[in-house]
Amino acid sequence: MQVKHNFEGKRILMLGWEFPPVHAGGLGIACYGLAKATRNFIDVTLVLPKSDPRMQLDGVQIFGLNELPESLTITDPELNRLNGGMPELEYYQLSASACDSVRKGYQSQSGLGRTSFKALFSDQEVYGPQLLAKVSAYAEALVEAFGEGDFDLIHAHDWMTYLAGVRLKKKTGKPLLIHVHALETDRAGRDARNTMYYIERFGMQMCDRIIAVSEYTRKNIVELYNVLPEKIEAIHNGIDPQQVFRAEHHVPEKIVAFVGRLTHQKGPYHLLETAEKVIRRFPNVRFVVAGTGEKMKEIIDWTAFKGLSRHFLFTGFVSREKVEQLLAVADVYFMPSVSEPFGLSALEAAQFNVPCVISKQSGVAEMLQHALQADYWDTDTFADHIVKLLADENYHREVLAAMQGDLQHISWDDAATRVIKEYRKFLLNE
Amino acid sequence: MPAISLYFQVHQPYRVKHYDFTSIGSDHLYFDEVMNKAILDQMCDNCYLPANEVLLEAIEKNHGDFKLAFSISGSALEQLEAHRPDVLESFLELNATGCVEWIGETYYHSLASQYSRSEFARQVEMHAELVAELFGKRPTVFRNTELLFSNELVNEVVKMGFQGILVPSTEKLLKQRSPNHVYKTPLSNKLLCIPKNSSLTAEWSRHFYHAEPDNVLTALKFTGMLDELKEEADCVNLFMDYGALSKQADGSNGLLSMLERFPKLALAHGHPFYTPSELLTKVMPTGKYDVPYPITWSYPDYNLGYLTSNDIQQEAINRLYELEIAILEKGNADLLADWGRLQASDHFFYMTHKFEEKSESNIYSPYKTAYEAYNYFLNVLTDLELRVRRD
Repeated sequence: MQVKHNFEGKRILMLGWEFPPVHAGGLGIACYGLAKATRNFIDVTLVLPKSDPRMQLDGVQIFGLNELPESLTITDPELNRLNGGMPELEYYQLSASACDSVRKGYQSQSGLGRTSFKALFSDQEVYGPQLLAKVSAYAEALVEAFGEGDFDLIHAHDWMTYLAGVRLKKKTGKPLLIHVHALETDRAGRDARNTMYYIERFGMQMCDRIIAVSEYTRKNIVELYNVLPEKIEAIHNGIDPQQVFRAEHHVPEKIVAFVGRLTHQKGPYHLLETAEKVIRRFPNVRFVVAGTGEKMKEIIDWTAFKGLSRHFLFTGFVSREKVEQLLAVADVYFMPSVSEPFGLSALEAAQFNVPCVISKQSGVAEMLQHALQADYWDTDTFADHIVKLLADENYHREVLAAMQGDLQHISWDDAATRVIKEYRKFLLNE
Repeated sequence: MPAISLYFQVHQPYRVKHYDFTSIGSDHLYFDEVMNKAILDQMCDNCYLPANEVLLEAIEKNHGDFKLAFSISGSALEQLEAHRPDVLESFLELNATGCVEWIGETYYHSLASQYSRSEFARQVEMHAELVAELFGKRPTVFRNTELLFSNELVNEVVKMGFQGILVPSTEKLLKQRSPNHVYKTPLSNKLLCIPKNSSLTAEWSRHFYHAEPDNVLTALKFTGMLDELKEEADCVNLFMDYGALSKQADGSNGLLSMLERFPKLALAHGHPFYTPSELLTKVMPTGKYDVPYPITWSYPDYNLGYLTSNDIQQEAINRLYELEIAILEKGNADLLADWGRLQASDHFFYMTHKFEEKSESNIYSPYKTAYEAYNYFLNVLTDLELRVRRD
């Protein structure tokens, strides 16, 4: 156990949105890993939209807005004010069109009453159709509950918490560090200039420091959000050791695994284009596509239309256990993401001893330097990589061994050390 | 006065369970026994048993003048035998009256006639043998799944020894002629077509699905409709799923109470009941029914649109029938039965997009979406393919 006295009982107020085991998305896992690794150095209070008895982490106070007393619910006028637009955005001189875009996002969710605040955070889904209303209610509630400033630094994870972070900073004068795990420009494309984008940019402008989850994301923040590079520190997430295993698979084909939401961001069209090229050259292959999303129907239709269904399996939604069962039988892991800020799933595949073929437009490409890489659109090179891994056992072994070397350099302790270093700059004026 | 020919289809498929991709290669039990039994029980108790009882009583009361026809698919007969022998017994009671004719069909309620003539012949023969064994007589009249029919089928069906076939009627193909006759085909003199009267059959289903006060079909009302038909009408052919006689959600059953009175009333108005094979001898064919492309009884398009029109349906069906030669070579009874059961047209109906296009859900499907149905079906098919290669 590290000593905490360096920080003289100082406390980090961490603003999060997901947390395992209830939400096992990338953001939740990253928050968990960070909180777990930093708690040895400094006291951490983590605030989530909704807590759950299953969320437990020794040494970290976890607080959900659902635990707020009834008296702290937000009243109608407050929410109406939010629905009408956010004064602070105008105050900080966002462009008129940016304000407009943000306002529109809120106006689409008008009509929230006093009681609906509790309802907002009572269902299990922390995203959902009322996400923007949740985001503003989260900010409002945090100011009510933590406005006294009984903490020393605000560490806000992803755009859902940025408004809360900015308002708390204004109210308490405590420094704000925002942590970018993903950008709207990853999800919705580089040209996205929507409500989420402007909230992100607002947070980046208002904060004192930005941690980006990769150099790739750092570069995107500079290029697409017009932030000075000096304000951003790229710190890779760590990864927890896994209980890995291999299993016999029953299909005779070699298995190429794809795990992720089937959305544009994950490169489903590049997956198909690559698959077709691979199948032509190495027919004894089956692509197992694990996950669901808005592109699923289209992708299934395509494989049926092409008459290639026997080279695919679509699992639909998959539990954590099923993902592990898939990785345990996979011969290659394929991640052709169009824009992937981090790419935890590739690290997990590597842990499961599956060589990875990944897009260069990803954070994980910086960490798994020996994973085979190509630009997301370069399906010829993707196909070359996959065919070679499938056809050449020695090559398969070599790539895997080299990737195991990459994995040795990744740990949560390293990530925590670097995050702590950022804390020190503000807390100890180092 | 036109005769009445009443025919009911009884079919239950083996629905595929939520078969996960991790089961491929190790789990060879493809069907959801619990669900299949539950649906069978529900149909038996809400429809087959009470309806059989009403029909039996009508036959007895009318001293053999009330007759009708059934076809029961092989997969339905198998499931009745396994789970509801009481219901099979009640069909046997109906059979014992001599007033029921058993119509031939494909054993698995399949679309084999479209995809494999040899498999089609195999299944029709299987079904005929089972019917002969259970009910004592080989069928002489045939009906294909969904009444699927076209000229191409004629000589296949003749070869199998059938003399008549139940067919869908469309105004276009009947060329404005009435469906209330028996027709020849352009391809053979040995087979007669008995077309379904869609509009009068629809009166029954309208009652079943939308039993609002205006639509309540009484025996008197329906007999009135028959009386109004033109003098030259020979026969009114009412073909429908037996499920149309099910209890409604509110427990009422208008059609069954209509059916309690209808036979006696219709007979009193001079409408005799003929089974399909009787029609062949008692009614003179009036012309030829030329069907150059496949038609079905599915409303409103009378084609295979619900079953075989989209990419996932086609891919699933094509992969399924590609297995034929290898499966027959294996000669393994389990493989053959699984393959047959997967041929039921129901599986492909669950994959239709037609409901989504209308923002409706497919209430007949045990799956949430067409793609869910497809994924489970393909997982199962993948396992079947492996067994064919290995076993």
